[in-house]
Amino acid sequence: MMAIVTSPLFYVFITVGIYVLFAWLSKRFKTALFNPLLWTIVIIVCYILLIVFIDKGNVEEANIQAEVARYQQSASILDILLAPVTVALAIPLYANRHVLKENWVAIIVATVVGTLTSVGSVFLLGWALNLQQDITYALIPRGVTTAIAKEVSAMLGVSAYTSITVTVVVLTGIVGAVLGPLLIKLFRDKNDVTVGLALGSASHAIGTSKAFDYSSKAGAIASVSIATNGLFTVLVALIVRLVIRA
Amino acid sequence: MDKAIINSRRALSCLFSYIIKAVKIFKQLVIVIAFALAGTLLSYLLSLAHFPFPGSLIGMILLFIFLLVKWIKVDSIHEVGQFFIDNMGIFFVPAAVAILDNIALLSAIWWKLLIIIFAAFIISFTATFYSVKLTLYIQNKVRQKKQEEPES
Repeated sequence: MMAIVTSPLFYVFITVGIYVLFAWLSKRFKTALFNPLLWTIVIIVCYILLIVFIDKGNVEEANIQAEVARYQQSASILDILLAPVTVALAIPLYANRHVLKENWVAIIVATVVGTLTSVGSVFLLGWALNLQQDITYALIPRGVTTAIAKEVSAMLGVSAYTSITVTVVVLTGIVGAVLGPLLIKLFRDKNDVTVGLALGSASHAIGTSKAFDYSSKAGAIASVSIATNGLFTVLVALIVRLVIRA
Repeated sequence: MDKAIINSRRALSCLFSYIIKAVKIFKQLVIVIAFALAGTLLSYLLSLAHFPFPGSLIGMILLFIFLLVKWIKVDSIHEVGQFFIDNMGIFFVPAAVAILDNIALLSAIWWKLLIIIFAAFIISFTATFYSVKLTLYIQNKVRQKKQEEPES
């Protein structure tokens, strides 16, 4: 029995297994609350804490870090594919190129306004809440898709907090998928372009899946804004980086 | 006897089609990885010029351009690409689980992070929503004017 648990394959097995289970649940019940990424993270984190406690009888930081390192070595098979996965984002962008061509003015406006208000509000709130500077930098890419957010936090020199970036990005997506439709109801406007761009640029891929509930055009335009928003956020991060260094 | 031969042939051709399918997936994977590697190389070259730009994003832009000018057909990367897009989340689990390394820090600031998650979403969502609405309104007005002009 122990041989199964200590095998490096076991971590890959439970990661994929939990993910598949919650992907099925979220499809079955059509809710962002069963987001597979979030629940996989939560359950793996609890599992690691539990196994360290059973094995060592305490949850000291050094023991946890050792087990996390073991997990990441096993799951590096997933981590290593992140770059090709990001490259694949070109496919939805290409598939929706006509949407890009028809609505490029609105897309540029949404990208610039969405990114600047997102980065601006992070700086403002971070300052108001007296947040540590490195953490504030880690939150700058809060609204872009995880693949790009991870790169941005590395660019800003806060790779130590990439895990915080990833978690905040996922939570933002879920908050967006739940709050977004409520705000749309409040604003009383269901224009495809407006709804798609607002959901896509404020809450990336998880918001985009909600945009498809309004219409396929809203979904298409939201998926285009994932890529444009990500690219523009990288440019903003380049400027922030220059300012930090100066 | 004949039937047995036909059946075994059928099984064999079935097996071959599986192998061909698997090879096709690997071929697509090789193409996507090649773009990621090309992006990594360009990113390295740019970093020498003090312009840090994520390699995976350069790979994405390259692939987009190659698709636009039809040097690569969507069909030749479709299955792998769609698999990556549909199941993107799982590839981030290792990065996120590292949050355990920051657990002491997190227990002190989690409520601040929650406030920022909610507030920043509401701010950027509302700003984007109304700026797009305004843009569409202006575009409509301009279009109407253009239609009226030739008549007057």
